Amino acid sequence: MVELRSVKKIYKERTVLDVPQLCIRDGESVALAGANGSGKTTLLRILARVLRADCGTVTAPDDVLYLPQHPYAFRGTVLDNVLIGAKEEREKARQLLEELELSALADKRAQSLSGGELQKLALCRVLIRPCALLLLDEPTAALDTRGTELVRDALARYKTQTNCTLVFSTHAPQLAAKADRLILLRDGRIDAHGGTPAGTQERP
Amino acid sequence: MKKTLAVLLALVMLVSFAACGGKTADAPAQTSAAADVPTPENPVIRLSTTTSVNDSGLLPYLLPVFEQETGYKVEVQSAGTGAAIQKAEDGNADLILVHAKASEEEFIEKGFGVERIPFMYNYFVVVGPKDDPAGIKGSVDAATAFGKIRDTQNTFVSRGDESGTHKAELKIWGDNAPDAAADAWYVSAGQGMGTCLSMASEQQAYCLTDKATFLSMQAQLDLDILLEEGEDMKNTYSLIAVNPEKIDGLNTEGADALIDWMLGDEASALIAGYGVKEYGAALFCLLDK
Amino acid sequence: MDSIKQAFDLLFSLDKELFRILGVTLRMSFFSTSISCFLGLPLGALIGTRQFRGKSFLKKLIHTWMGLPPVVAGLLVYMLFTHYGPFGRLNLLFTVTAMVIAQCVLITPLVTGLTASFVETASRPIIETARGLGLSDARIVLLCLSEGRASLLSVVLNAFGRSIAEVGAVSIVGGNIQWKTRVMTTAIMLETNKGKFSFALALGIVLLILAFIVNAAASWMVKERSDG
Repeated sequence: MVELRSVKKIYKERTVLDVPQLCIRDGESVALAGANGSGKTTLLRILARVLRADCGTVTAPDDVLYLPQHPYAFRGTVLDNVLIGAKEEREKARQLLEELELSALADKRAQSLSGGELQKLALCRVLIRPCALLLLDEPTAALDTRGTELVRDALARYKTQTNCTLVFSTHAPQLAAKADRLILLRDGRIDAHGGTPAGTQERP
Repeated sequence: MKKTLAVLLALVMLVSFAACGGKTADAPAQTSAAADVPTPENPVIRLSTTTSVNDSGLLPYLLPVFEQETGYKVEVQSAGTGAAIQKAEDGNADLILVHAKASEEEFIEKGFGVERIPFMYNYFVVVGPKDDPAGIKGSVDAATAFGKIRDTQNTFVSRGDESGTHKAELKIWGDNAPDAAADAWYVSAGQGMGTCLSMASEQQAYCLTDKATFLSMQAQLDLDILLEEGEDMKNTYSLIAVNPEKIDGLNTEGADALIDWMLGDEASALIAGYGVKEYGAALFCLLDK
Repeated sequence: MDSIKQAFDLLFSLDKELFRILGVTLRMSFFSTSISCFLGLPLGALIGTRQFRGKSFLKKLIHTWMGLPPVVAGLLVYMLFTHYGPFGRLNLLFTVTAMVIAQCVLITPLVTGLTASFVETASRPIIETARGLGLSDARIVLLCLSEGRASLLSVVLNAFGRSIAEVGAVSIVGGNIQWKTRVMTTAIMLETNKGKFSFALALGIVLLILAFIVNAAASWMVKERSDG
């Protein structure tokens, strides 16, 4: 279970996040929507423990994987990058690269990839290992329609295999539609809770 | 950040205003003085001299009088003897004031100098630790004193920079010159007179120096004059105008005017009186003309 | 042109004194660069990654210190080690050790400041990505070092460059003593004072060649590792 109570983050006298209460059930899949600067990234970073909240309590599983919005390509090949967190999983790495149509690039230098290719690589790097809570910050921001569909399908497969809790931010409707619940953020506050992905029409 | 910048800017402006204020206050005095003074066609004279002459304070004492009387402006460049002469050979000076006979003669031989005019002298002195561990006090001349230092292996700081003082030192050592590579007690510093004196004081070492520089620094040094006025310690200063036939663009008129003035009665009287008040004795003596 | 020829003649003449000077120069630069980096790299990394009170003040202080004139650093160390100074008894004045100390006073803030700003900007995405993958803290530090090695190398080479080219501090605390504390820069200064300008320039060219060799060797080493 993921739970936030009275969580606040203030940056240079501006409240960037203010969540009195938020609960996410185990195995639930939640999409975060909202305009730029509404607090999506801050919320994800706090859940990922990359950022500490100024006050309040955060309960989340220890076994967390988090994909930042601008992932970093490490030195070495694309395959090396996928294996960075799971050295033994060569088979699985090959399979993930196949699924995201990156196989041809496996032996290329990761730092020479385009923005979209890097984003898909970063997803492979995360999905190679099971976890209890998966956090993704705009995983399809740099992708075309085809890429977005590939990511959506890969996520769906991972979800059924691991039954993890999934929280992701996105501006893409076809991705948000897959979520159990949509949370809309506005100026750091939760604006509306949707029980169903009905709120997808409300695009920023 | 912006605030810091503003404060900094304000400070800079204050300082520059203060500087400008100083200048405007001085300016009227200068113009009124210049009113009854001739204005030479080419008023800038470039004098290349050695650090020891400049450090002794003689030039800042003499030159304002010359400038006031003639309307010339003397730009003094000071460096080691070698560099002082090299600058003149490169055409960057109108005349030189140095104290290294052999180099001066070479300068003239090469055609860069017109005539060597020796005009004043003083004595080098040997300074060292107050308790004089090598016992050089009372030696007949510097060569004898150096021999004692060598025998007792006391530390000796040498200029080692081919300056006039260094050349005089090497001449005193003669054939007995120590080898800096082998003799650890012989420190070849390669620095100016003031720095060498500080080093000698630090290491309680002996050192050959011109008297003027030593006296001006004596308060900071833990050293005494142990030997002076030996026959081999005479230090003669000469003026040489740069040859206009060899180098063009010189201010030969100005150089000649300065030389004439330095040899004249007024300058002679000033030189003879220099240092009497501070040190009780003149720092420079005039050569008989 | 004359100086360039003279520089090569000097190098190939295997002049004993020149090689002594080069030796002292390299020894001094090696130690002052190593010690400054040993202190400055971790300190800079710490400042770059941590958030604490007075951090921006500390950074301003470091940046001011980075602009410290070498002569002032030399004077400070001179005052400490002078005969009647607090550490006068150690008899370190006019030794290579004193030169290394003065240079460390000068270069450590440079290394600290450059490392801090590198860590602050460049390594943030590395840390965030690595932490997101659940990697251990030790692994993250290693990754940062290995990913940023080109930048860190340039920090080290900057320190080395400052050390080898510095004359003010070194001449005050070293004394430019022949066969003992004379380094390339003070030798150049001496030849300039002697009026041997073209010889001084030749020494300058030798210094440049030396610096080039060290730089090339360092970047070759880093490249070698990343390929292997």
